[in-house]
Amino acid sequence: MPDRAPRLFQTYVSLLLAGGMGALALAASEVRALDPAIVGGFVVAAFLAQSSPARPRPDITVSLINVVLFCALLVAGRGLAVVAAVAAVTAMTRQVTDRPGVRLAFNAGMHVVSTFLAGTVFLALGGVPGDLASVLEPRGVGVVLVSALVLTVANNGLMAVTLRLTRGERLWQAFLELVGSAAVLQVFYVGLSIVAAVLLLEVHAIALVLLLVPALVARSGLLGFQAETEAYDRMVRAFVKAIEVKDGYTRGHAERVATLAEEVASELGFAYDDRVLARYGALLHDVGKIGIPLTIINKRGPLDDEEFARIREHPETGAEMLRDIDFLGPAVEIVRYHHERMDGRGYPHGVAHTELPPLVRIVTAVDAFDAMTSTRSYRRALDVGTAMAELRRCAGAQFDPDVVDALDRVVQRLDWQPTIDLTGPEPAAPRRLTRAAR
Amino acid sequence: MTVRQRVRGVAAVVAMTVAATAVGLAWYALDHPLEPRGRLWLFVLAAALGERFPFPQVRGRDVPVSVAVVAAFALLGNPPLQVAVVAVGGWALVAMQTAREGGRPRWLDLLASASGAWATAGFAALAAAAMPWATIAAHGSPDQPVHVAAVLAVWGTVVLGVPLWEAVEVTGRTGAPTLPIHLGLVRSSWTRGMALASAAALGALVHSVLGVWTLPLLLLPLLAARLGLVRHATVQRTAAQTVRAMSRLPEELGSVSRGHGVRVGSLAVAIARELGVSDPEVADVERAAHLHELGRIQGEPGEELEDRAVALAGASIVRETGSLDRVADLIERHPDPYRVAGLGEDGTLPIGARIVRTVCAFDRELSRAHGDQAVWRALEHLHAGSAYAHDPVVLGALTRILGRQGRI
Repeated sequence: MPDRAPRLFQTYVSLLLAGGMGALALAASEVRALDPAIVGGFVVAAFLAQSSPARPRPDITVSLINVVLFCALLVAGRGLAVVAAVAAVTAMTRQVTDRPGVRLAFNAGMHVVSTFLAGTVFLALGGVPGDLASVLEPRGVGVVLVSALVLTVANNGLMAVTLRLTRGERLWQAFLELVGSAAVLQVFYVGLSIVAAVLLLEVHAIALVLLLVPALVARSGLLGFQAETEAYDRMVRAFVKAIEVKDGYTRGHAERVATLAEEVASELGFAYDDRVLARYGALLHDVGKIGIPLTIINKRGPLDDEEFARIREHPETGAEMLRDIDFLGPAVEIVRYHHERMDGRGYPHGVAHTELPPLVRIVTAVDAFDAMTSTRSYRRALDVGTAMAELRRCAGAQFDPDVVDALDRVVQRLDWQPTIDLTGPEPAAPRRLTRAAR
Repeated sequence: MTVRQRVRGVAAVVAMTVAATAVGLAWYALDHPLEPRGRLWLFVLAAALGERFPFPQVRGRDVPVSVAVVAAFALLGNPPLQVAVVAVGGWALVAMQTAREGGRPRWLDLLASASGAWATAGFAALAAAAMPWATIAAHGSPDQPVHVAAVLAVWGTVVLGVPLWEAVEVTGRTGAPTLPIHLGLVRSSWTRGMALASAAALGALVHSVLGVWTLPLLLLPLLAARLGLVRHATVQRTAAQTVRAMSRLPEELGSVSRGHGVRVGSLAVAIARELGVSDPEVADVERAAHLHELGRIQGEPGEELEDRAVALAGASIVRETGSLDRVADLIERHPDPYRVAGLGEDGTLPIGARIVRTVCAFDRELSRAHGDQAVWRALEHLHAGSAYAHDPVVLGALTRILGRQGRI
């Protein structure tokens, strides 16, 4: 988000907050008739659920808050659900550090309004809070599913508007991405809410412990996943850094290519999993160079046939090395084909564009771009504009034009600068550019 | 694995099954009314789903989710024969599919779910009789209360019972003592067991209210839990595979023979297990074995480097990863002798470092020697160095393992 929220966004948040206040006022009158123990229990549950989220991906937060909200709706109706939503927002105060005022106001408005909407739809369709027998009939199931849908659409719709107003993302696309990542979880949430409501109303509150155990195991799995994913990333980067450290000229090359490849993949609209693969493929694309003597890699004059043969081997050597890492799968193709060209005149396989997967094309172009914009033994770093012009000249024959366009937008957005290592060795006279991406 | 060991393993498993079946049948009267057929088949289907989508485990066997389905069915008071039908039916549906794809059916899963369910039902009945006050009943059907004791019983039998079969099987296969293996397995799988057992108790509790909805709603929290566990297991496996792949880096430089890291890794793991090293430490030993030559990548191809310098360089690279400090320690210390003349045995030298040192030397000797006596001659070399270089305990384990593998 930019430093100062645009006025339109501030108006939006104010409206949302006002709507939330209204919903809360209505809800408060509904809650007064309820057993204070139940209200207190749900407030605590909502607070705890919101306080312990797991973040399996940077863009996805998983918590049981929707289970609590929906269970409140089934057990005691709209009022209790809205009050629980407010309790959840208070838990966020500790989680939000960046511009807390606006974000808390937005979150409060969003949660309260969407919970209120879902509750209203539930009641309007004839749902009876506290009556599970009606919920379990086919019609009741339909009502529950529709109100769950309303909750999801309202939550993500309001969020998508925010993304539109603050980051200028396309409304529909932002909405679809948000819903897509949360849709599977919604089904779990609704099912769990029904089980929890049955336990509360028909069995005994203490039986909720039984529901909590699988939930905690799921959470520990997600937290473990989160921690190990970060550890894995550090590990791969440490290995790559150790491989690069010998050669002063390529130091940091893999990291830069990885950053740019991920950005370009994102610019081209690739899904999260593909962006991650692009990143790892880019990080590891040159591991096969490990067996080539530095005297060949940094040779200032032209390479003889035998030396060039050694260079030609490195994509295949690298791919072979990484073959058994199941998760990398398609990223191994990046390593194998990162010196191929669109016209089929690349090495070592000489395959043409029809066989080059999109992720490979991204890394090919980014690799060449970073090679040109950093200092090598045989020439100095080019500036970004010159390098982009060279990429454009070779677009179609060597690189995918769409990728080159996307890369252009990315380097402008990031204000990318060439890598000039002042401590590195002095380069010799410039050599032909087409071999720069070696 | 010799024929005798295989027979012993099978015999142990069969004996335990027969015993568990007998006890379960004895505990549980056969005069229960028959379950309506339709519901029975629903449970069979749910058991098959649970068998098909187990809780993953990176080391050791996956924990079958069918355990929860079958235990819930048993807790509902169904007769043992029907419990067996659900367990066998669900298992068989998946086993047929597995066999058709060329895989081997997982017998241990069947034993775990069936025996676990019987034991659960038996214990629950016993405990409920002993503690009639501890009951939770659904309002709708006060005549079918579920006892807190039943919940405890299902927790106990699933958490302790499911890993038992695997422990017995390992004992039969390797001759290692059952109890420590069982405890190790319980330690690594108890949270999964608790989740399954809780779901089973949950199913039994809500069944009178939810009816046919019980199964889908019961499987939901389990599948949700599975999602997280699968992701976790995947990244753990990926990390192990990546370390294994990185063992090839020094081999590309030509000064280490091809496959050295992977070979040292598998022998080192076998020795660590043989010497009773705990599971997480075995994983560290394996990673250290894979990466013990990594320091060579800081030299040029073909460059001769001193072992200690390689170890130090490798350890510092591995330390950079931030999550492998114990592995780095093993790598750093692996060139050290276990005894120093005049000073005696080096008590600070970890067993993992000793293992990696000896196995590395063995593999190097072996790649130099030829002929049918090669393994013997390599061992002879190592034994000659057992005064200082190689720990006789490690050498002994290495010799036994080579013998078991039929290589000497």
